[in-house]
Amino acid sequence: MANVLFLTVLIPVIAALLVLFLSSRAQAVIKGVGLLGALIPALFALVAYIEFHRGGVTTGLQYPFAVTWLTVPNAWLNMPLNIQLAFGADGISLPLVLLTGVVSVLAAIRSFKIEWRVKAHYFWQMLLVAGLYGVFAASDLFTFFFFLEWTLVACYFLIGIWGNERRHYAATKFLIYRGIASVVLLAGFIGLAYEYAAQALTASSIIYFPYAPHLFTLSIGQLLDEASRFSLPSTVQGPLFLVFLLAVLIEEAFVPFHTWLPDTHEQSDTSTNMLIGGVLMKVGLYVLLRFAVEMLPEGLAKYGMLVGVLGVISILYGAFAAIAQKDWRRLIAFSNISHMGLVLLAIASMNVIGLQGAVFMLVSSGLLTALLFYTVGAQAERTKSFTFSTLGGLSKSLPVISGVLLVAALGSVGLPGLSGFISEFSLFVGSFAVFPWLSAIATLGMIFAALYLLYAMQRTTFGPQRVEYDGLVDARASEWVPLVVLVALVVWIGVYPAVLGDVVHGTVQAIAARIGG
Amino acid sequence: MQNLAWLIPAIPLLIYVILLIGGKRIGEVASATLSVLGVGIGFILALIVMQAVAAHGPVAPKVWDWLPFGPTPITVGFEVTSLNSLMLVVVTFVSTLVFLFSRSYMHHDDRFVRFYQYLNLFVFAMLGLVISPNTLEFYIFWELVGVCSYLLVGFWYYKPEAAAAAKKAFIVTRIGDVGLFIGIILLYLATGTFNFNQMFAGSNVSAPLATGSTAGALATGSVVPNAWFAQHGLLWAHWHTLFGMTPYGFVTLAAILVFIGAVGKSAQFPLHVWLPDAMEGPTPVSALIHAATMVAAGVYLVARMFPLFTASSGASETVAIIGGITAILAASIGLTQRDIKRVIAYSTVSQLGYMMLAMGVGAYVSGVFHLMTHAFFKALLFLAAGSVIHAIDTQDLREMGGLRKFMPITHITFLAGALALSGIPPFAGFWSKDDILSAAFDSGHYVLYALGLIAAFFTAFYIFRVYFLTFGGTYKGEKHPHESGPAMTIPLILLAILATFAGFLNAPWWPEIGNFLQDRGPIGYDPSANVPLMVISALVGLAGISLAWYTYSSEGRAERMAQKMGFLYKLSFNKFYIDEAYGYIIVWPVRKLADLLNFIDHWIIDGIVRLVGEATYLGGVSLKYSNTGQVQTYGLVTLVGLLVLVAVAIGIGGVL
Repeated sequence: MANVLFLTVLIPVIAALLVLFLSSRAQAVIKGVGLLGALIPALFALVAYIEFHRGGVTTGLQYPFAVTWLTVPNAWLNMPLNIQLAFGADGISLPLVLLTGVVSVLAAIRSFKIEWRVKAHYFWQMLLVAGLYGVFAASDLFTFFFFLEWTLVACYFLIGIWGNERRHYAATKFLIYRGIASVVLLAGFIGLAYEYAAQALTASSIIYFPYAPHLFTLSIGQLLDEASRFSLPSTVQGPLFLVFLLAVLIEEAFVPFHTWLPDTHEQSDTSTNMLIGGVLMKVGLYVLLRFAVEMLPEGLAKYGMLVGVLGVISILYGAFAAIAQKDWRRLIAFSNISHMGLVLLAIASMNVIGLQGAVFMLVSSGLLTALLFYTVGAQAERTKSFTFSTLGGLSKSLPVISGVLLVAALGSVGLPGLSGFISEFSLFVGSFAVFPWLSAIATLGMIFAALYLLYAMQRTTFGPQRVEYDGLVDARASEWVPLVVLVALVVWIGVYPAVLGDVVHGTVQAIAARIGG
Repeated sequence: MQNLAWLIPAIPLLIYVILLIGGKRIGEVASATLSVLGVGIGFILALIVMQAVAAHGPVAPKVWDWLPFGPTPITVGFEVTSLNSLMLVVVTFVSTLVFLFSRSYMHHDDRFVRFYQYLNLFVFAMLGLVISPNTLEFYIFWELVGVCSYLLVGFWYYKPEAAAAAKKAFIVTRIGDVGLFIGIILLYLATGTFNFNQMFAGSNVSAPLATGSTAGALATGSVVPNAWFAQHGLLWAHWHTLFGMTPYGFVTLAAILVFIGAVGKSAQFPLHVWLPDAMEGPTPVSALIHAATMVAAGVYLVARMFPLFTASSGASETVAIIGGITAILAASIGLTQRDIKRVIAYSTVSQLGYMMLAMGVGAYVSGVFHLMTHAFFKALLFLAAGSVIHAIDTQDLREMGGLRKFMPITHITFLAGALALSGIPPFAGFWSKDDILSAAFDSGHYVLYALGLIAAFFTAFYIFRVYFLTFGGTYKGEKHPHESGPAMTIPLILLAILATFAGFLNAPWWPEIGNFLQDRGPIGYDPSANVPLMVISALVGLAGISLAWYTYSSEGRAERMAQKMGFLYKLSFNKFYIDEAYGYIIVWPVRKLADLLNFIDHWIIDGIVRLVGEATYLGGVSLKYSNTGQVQTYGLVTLVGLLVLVAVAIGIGGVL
């Protein structure tokens, strides 16, 4: 099953094309194809997880797959350049591939409720899913960037067509912000490729170096290997790191580049929110882990304090802003900004425990965000409201949905037994070791998270029931699937985190050993 | 037999899962029976385990790998020591009776099964906490206890007060939890372990089976940074070089952080504000929270981490002072409250203060002993109050009176609890409270001793105020009160027996508990009998009772006295305005700051973004008029532009 990763990308594309050729009236068939287009890759991702080589300090990308699309001879200084479609995964990317699998299936199920332009919806959703798999599974800078742009386009249409009142505004804002982030990231990629090629050239004149004449490369696997053999001069690493950092700050909606995210979430429909909030919003930090930590460690170390401070700003800013929100979707958006700030802080700490916590947090927050959006969407489908002022007392008529919403909220608060706790705990162990003061300030985020989420719960599910919500129908059969799957995963990781830790640990240990944490 | 200890929490967990899946289909009788049996079996097992510990001593922790983490994996498992086997017995005993009591009390509640489901989870969490062999697992159960109290305090979710109280309980204790969270992390980074045994190796209380570890130095107040962390340049270097922190300073910091966790959970000043509100939950839940689970966890934490506190006199002084302040503060608030449950709730806060005071002055055995006797008489007082509330459907003391005639069993058992709480010999509370006061006196904490003594006087007054208002005089309400059924009276009778006699388990001439807890050598300071102090305590208690009798024996005398006290009465009645102060100093600023931030976010940060967007758009719109199609105009613009460029190039000194 060496090609599993390639298949995870290919199958949603095939599904999208199939949908295109179906009659728009055959809605049931379209929905079936959409579900399979998400389910089959998810099963392949599961296979990849099961067969993943664990144990010890593991290096290198597994399940390698590469097709050369274009070769440019003499691209630079007589070196040829291969532009490839290439995939591979290690302990950092595989959990995110799995996350994509879980959330995409559940989003496809959620999309059963779409009634307007079903065909187009599934077409774009399948393309988004393929793009997300492609980004996390990519082992080539070109492949990565190609699929990143792909997600941008797909999201633009998903927000702009199926969103709420101000969807055009939100979609355009989304496109502009992430478009700018992409341009900056592209500059970073180009710089990375040139600098590594130049340095490899220097290195090859002194020591034996296996990659000649392909020293000019876009292959992530090769770059990672090169990074373990030599390091770029710190005068290069510093500025290049800042380029990556800027791209990530915009892409991940860190303060002050965050205002597009609450608008996006407020205007998008539930399935799109699950995919954006649950998966797409992990891409930026994945970029930081993949490229900055591993390929520019000295740059990160040099600006570690800056990164940590930016993280803490987002933690507190996001938490404070969340307290003031009147709408569930905006609250979730700010809560995510706050939680992703924690990951930034952990990455800045650059040690094995912090990095492991960072990967855990990406997965955990992905699952919990998807669950929050799903349950909030499920109640809104019945109450027609996302705003706290018109909600209240839902525990009475919607006990199941209210209960699961509480689980999701408590998970985000970091309650032990759910996935959020061990993530938060690990990344704080990592960050306290390096930034005790910053981390102490960051723990305020834990208190504020309890404040805004429980306050939101108090206004949604507690209190006397409003008459207009009398006799609402609780979760239906098709809704049980996402609820049960997500809750089960969140509990599973919370109770037995080794299920994820086994995969992550070997890789982060190798990274930490290399970057001196 | 100690190896079966894991069954004790596992049974309630299993029942929780059964009730979760079964839901309403299970029915009232089956769910209540199952739950009472489950925790009852747990009680019997706990007795067996305790007996085994007494006979053969503790056994090594049983652990399994949980998560690869840093240099060594995190493990989970369980351990049995003399301290936690005693806790297992107390928790399961009180829980069994509360479970039985709830059968009647919650009868006909819409969500009866759900109630038992939460109760089981609550007890599971507390028992899991007690047998945890490491700080991380401890913290996991600690938080789970917190969330269960959130669910149970907010059980009547449709009552806005209950919803607010549940949220308040969670958030206030969360503040403490974060302190503990940081404390655990710092201790891990300094010692490289989460395991109590390794952390305190070399000290007998928590490490009966210690393996040689560098970390044991914590117990003596000198930190040897863990080799792996030191090698990786982590933490210790920072604290040492950046802050010039000494090992003693580090231990003190870690101990105080841990104590902040206990302050939140055990409702110590200044985080005590959640506990009195938490009585919005059903009364059996209050009994459970106040006696066996939630608040006991904080004291247990300090007891479990006792070596850490003994290693730092600064930290233990802090514990003692906070305990003393809490004891007197809460007792003085209890004097004037009108809600029967609220008085008893403040009494819990005050009694927990005594326990902390004991721990702070090093009286480990006295603190644990008081934890135990208090569990019995406080569960008794709450359940008796529950029996009263169940009968007359009000919690307001002004609407009670004369219930002695109608509810003889409730009356006599409540009286036993009140005497125990007041510290009247030979009731249980006398022995344990007197131990604590003796220890404070012997260790030279005379101010704290005096505070404790005054608090004892207040305690006797307020609980007998409740007694006289509830059972004395004539009935002022309109209901027809009647004695509760056997599911409620049997627990009351059993608890009353213990509230009366449990003190003899550690009486000065027969220190059974003390010997059991110190089976590996003395821990802390164990005061010996001091007859003059004992006489003083007893007299103070009697004085409080007499004053209560005098005050409430005649109509209107209480009101006249309250008027005379004027300002002091208001201060006590309004709980020293602490809730209001927090509202103005913390809650209001946080809300306003959040609103302000939201405003800035919308109008300034996003405002600039939108401005840039508008400017771009307007720029495009206006520039389209320059597209005239007249070549002469283009030529002119080009020429002017070129001249400007040349001028600029000359101005900055050449082209680049």
